[in-house]
Amino acid sequence: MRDLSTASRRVNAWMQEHGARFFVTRKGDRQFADAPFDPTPRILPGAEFTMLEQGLIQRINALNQFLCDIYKDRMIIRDGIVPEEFVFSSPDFAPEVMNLTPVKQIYTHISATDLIRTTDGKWYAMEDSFSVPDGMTYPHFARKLCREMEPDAYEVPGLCDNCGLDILLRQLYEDIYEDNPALADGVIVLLREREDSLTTFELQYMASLTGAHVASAEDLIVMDNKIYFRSPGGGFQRVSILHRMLMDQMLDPLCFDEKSTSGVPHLMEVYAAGNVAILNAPGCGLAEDRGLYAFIPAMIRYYLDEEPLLPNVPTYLPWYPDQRDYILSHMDRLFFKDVAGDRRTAAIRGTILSANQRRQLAAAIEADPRRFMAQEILDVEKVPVYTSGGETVPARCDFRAYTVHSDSIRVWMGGLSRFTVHHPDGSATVGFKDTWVMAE
Amino acid sequence: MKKYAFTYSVHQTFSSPITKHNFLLRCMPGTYPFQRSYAQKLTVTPYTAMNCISDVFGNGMYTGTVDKKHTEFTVTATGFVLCSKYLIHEPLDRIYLYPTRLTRPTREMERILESASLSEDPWNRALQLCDLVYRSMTHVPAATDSTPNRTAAEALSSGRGDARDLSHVLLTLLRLSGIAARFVGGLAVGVSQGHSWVEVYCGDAWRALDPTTGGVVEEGYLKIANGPDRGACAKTRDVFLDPTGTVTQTREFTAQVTEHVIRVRDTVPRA
Repeated sequence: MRDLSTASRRVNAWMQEHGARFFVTRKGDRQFADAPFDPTPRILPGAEFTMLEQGLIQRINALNQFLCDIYKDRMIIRDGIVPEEFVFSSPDFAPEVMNLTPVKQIYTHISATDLIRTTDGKWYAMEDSFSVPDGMTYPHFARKLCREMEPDAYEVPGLCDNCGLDILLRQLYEDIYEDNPALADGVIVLLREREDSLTTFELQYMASLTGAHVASAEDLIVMDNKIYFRSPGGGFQRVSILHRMLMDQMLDPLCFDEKSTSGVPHLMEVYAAGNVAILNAPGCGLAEDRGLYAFIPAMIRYYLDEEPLLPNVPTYLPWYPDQRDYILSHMDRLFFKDVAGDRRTAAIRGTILSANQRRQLAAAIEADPRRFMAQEILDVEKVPVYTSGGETVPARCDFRAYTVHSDSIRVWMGGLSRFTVHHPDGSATVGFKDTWVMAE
Repeated sequence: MKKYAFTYSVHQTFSSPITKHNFLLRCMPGTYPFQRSYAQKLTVTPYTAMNCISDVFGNGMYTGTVDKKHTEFTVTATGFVLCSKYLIHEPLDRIYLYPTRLTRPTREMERILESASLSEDPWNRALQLCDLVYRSMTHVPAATDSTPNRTAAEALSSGRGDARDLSHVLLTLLRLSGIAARFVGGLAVGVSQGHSWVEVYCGDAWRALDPTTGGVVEEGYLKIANGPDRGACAKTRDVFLDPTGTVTQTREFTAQVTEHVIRVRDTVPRA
């Protein structure tokens, strides 16, 4: 393989210049950090990618059916598959969207699923993101820049191209237009949180791929129950597809959180009237709920009558007495997550807790079992990462796969491989790699 | 059956001119099995066209935008309402058994339930809890105007609050004790601002309790909206463009509900 270190320096310089960063957790605090690009790609054999593809299609299909069901008939609750407590007391449950039907009955247009591969070669799904499925563009532009500088490095037999991202997104938009002639005269707008938000770079890059416009709430206005984009050259253009990078609660201050300054007032009225398609559809945040994660295999069996192809990380809910007993007797070998609070709060690793801290956690679990979930700590595969000194070190690495859902569900043949390098001083660097899917 | 005339108004004053004033109003008593409203009139100043829509909880809402610069905004709602006994027969939506962001229970609330010797019968238990909130909290009119997202836990620990706060505390205790309950926003005889109370699902119907009086709601209450918490029932919500970034605002709410003599034509109200 050709040396890509010069190209990777250009990628890193370009990312810093454009403010492309990651959210990382340091000492319990969530903060922005630069996302260094490591030039050595993660290789994904075609057979493994095909297996992941099938598993992801099944998973996203089931989660979408779950959202359609919960916001309408709630059959899965009636049939006792998911306890209603896990749905109705979820901070991500949005009663405001009950009985509103999204375009094509799809809530999960674009999703990101975090996957891990263990040292014995098994894949597990760790988490799904629907409200802000970010990071999609990073590996895309990294490969684009590297290939421009070192085209020969990509002349590898069997290497699949990851350029299809723009085709997937355009196809998604076209599918929505096709079934909704009333929306056909409008433009596509990518809604960011603020001008300086984490997703600004991502949305601008996505706009350059698809021809959409990037806007903040102040660039959008609602008139006659339709939403319009105030273009930089003056004048208003009707918006037919609003691709948002905002949490549900921030979408419309008149409907959801009234303190939201990033949302568009009256947006939900326009949506309810069918005059705009919102991607992903409002209410999708419920499928990210950590407490409901444990029920995804049961959802697959219930809605699709199939066995899950892509397993969850073994998960235990103390809400069930038998699982609580297991958790309390194996606290030193489990991960703990607060499922009732903010999903961005860090997980607690049972192995690093003192005896006193374990007792406190056990008491908290017994007092409010609905609040927690526990997961087995898996031996995650490590990949080589270049250090600034030119050496390679092994680093734990996960893989964020992206799925686009319109008339069919398609998995992007690429993805974000995120690694964490732990330094001797206790600090850590989070970066990313390109993922090379190799043809079978 | 009784007949009431109501007037409800909100007057907002801004310290400097604002534009793009987007608002949502839930200030008209609706039509329910026990309540019929008619001859309603809603005016906003400065004038703007409004949309009349319903939210997912069935509450009627008016929405609109004032684009031009203004320093004052006034809403006035008037009309008549015919009321019979406060009782709403309908199937239970089980979301009302569970907490919301603003009504999460705390250990303190669990201790309150544990220490109270509560009845097994849900309706009697609800009456006990209503009385408990009424006796243990001080009702202060409109205490939370400046803190629209005040939670039930914050209100309980302060020991005081307006009708919305007391209703939130009662809602939380009711749900914690296994009784479905929902927040109601409305107007009431003798209350000079908007009012709030709680509906409790017992048997196959909703009945109402007022934690500011500690009693059962029988008559003189005009229901405007219901929902899981005050967020779904706010009488006014608005966002505006503040060109200077320094605008401060004041709000005055006034309400009046008076009983009228029923005449023959009142029995056939306009829908």
